[in-house]
Amino acid sequence: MMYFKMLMKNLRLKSALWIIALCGLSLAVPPVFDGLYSTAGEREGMKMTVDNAAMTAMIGPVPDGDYTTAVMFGHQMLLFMALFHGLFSILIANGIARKAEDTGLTEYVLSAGIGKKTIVSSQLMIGAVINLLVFIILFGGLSLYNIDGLSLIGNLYYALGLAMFGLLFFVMTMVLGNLFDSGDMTFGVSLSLLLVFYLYRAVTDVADTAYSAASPYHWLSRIEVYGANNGLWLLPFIVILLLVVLSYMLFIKRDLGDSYIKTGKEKRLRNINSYPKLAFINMRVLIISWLIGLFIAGLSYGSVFGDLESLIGENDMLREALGSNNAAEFFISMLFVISALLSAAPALMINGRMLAEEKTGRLEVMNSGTLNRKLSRGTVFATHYMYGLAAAVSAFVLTVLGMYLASMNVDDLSITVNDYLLSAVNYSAGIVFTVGVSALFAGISKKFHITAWLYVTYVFFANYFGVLLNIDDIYLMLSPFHYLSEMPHESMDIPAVLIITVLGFVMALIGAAVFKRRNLL
Amino acid sequence: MLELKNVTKYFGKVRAAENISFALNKGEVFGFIGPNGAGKSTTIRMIIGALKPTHGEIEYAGGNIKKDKKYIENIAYVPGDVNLWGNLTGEEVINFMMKTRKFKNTDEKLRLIEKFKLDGRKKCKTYSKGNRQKVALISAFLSDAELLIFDEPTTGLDPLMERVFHEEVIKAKEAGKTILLSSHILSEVEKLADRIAIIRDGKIIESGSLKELRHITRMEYIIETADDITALKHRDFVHEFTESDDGYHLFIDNDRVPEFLKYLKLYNLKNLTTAPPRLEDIFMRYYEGAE
Repeated sequence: MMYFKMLMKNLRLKSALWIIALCGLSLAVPPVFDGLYSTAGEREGMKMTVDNAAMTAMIGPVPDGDYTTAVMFGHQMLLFMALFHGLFSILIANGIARKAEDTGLTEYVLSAGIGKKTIVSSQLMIGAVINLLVFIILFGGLSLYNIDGLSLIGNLYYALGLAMFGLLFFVMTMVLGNLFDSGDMTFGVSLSLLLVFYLYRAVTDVADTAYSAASPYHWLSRIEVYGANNGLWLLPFIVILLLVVLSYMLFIKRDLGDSYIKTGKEKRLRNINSYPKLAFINMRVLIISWLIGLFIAGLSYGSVFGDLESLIGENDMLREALGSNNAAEFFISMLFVISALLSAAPALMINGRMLAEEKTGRLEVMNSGTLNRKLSRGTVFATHYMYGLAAAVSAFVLTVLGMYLASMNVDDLSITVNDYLLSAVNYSAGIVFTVGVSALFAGISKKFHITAWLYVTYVFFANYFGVLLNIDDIYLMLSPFHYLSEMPHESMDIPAVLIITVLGFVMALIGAAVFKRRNLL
Repeated sequence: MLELKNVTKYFGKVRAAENISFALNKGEVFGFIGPNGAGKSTTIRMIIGALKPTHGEIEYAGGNIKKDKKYIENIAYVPGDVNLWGNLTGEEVINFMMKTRKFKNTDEKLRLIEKFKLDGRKKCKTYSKGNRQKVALISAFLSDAELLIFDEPTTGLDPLMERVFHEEVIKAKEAGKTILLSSHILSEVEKLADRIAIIRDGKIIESGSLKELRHITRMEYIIETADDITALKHRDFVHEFTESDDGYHLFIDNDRVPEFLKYLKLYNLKNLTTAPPRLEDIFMRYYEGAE
């Protein structure tokens, strides 16, 4: 019990913040949906919007019956929230089990006379308590709402479903912690499972939901909370009990620090022989997650292209702002600009990593004693600039690809593959420019690079509201996109593309020159 | 081989280093001592090119470092606060530094890892300060650099490892390398350095060989005796005379020691111990002299 209390005390702030954030996210949505889609017609419209392959892949199959506010909430939130609840449980479980064992904390506990059975059962109990709290807060919170369709039984299944899902991944991580020999490995495998189950059901939900039953996410879909309320689909979660017994046995039977699968100790030494390779290893998670994230964003943008006309048609302010333009094409060109700016964000982060190398003093250590042609300030600058630019442009191309894939089956859209490709080239010029701004500012100083973030944010909002509110062109003077043509509904302005691109490169060159000469932090 | 000529660095109005001048001869160990914040690291970071001097010149092997940027290939540097890449193992970091230096002696690498008792298989984010320092020190020794610069290298090391480090410094010196050793621990510098420079508030206040600087250090003597030796108190080479449970404590000017010993012969001593001079004593002495 003492060990359990200690774990609780250690986790209370971290888990409280997570629980507040997660439950807050769930609880914030019903009133928003209630306000946004107040009539049955609007809700039917929403149902049509999500009833296509891309949206099914993202949030699961559309449940039968009325698409009430409550059903909409359950359908659109449950799987997403499950993903986050799973992540939360994995982090906590790995932190108190395998990671604590890695750092020798568990050994201390053992040496203090606390038995292995107590250790493993206390850890399991943490998972139960945390997810019980999740259940209580969600169930209690949802029950406070007086929104049509939010039935008590639906609330129960929503809260119970997420709590069970969290507990499942908590216990699964505990089991994996016995199999693998490091916290990093355990986290990696657990997180992969969490994502693979999600992606697996994305594919099978579109193809044939019968296969989806292998994924825990689908169990939640099948409950059809607030609709059919099939409580039976909570039964598969019984597998948790099996995993509890398994993690208990596996832990009792092995030595502390030992594992059933051995990979780590004889880890092969990676041959990191150049700065670009080192930088890639340090930033690959950042780069890959942005690429995936923006591809998914592209898919979700693309999936609404079909409904753009009707969405805009209903909104007087937008109708007015657009004038005689083709609404869909106009909106798509705005989405291109916004996506291009979002795609530039990883580049700013990658340049920020260079400044972190500077601030930690690693840069000057790397520079001294090493061969200039292999590693100099110039090498480091160029590496980050190239990676940043490559990541930004690839992220943009993936976003556009996502839009294209998700909108392929929209009939009345007059945008061809060629249009997409040429638009990608057109807006990439703006990305080169934005990354150039970041490189220039990073070259000047770490503090100055914050301005690059302000710049991107400003351009983002200027373009966003520029379309919605018809703001003066003067506010758009700083935006490179202002000078590029609005593809796909205009044709490409080749000189503009060239000039903007060249300016971007010139700024990067100036940044490099300054960076090579200046004082380091 | 390295010469600083009136090197000055201002950060805004703060004068971090002022008119710093000293020269390192090939093959010597040069001690650079001063309290924290005196300007040691600023000076060193100007030498490696991380900071540009506001005034003054730095020359390496006769050439101005502003003209020939390649000089830095000949200098290996270990900062006082070592940061490593958390996701790499210690050995991966060492290998990376070797690769970027084209240094291929892996036997030497294994010897140093063994000698410093480093577990190179662990990720750097799990390392303590001492272990991070070991990685950086090993990397610095594994190079063809002519000049090794260590900025407070032993602060995180335990006494055993400190000794290993001292042995390696001596070994490097025997191999013909030049070493710049910055420290706030006088005894360490005394043990290793041929010459020293003392820096305070951004200015070099003394420099020269240790022998030349003897006059500025005082040794502390602790004397146990049944006799009353308070008469010594009034000799002009005796300072800070105090009496405590373990005996009399007094500081003696190094250049007056023979005289002091002559007086000691007059008494029956039970025990006589000495404590090495400390940096703060030097400064105290220096300021007394300046007044």
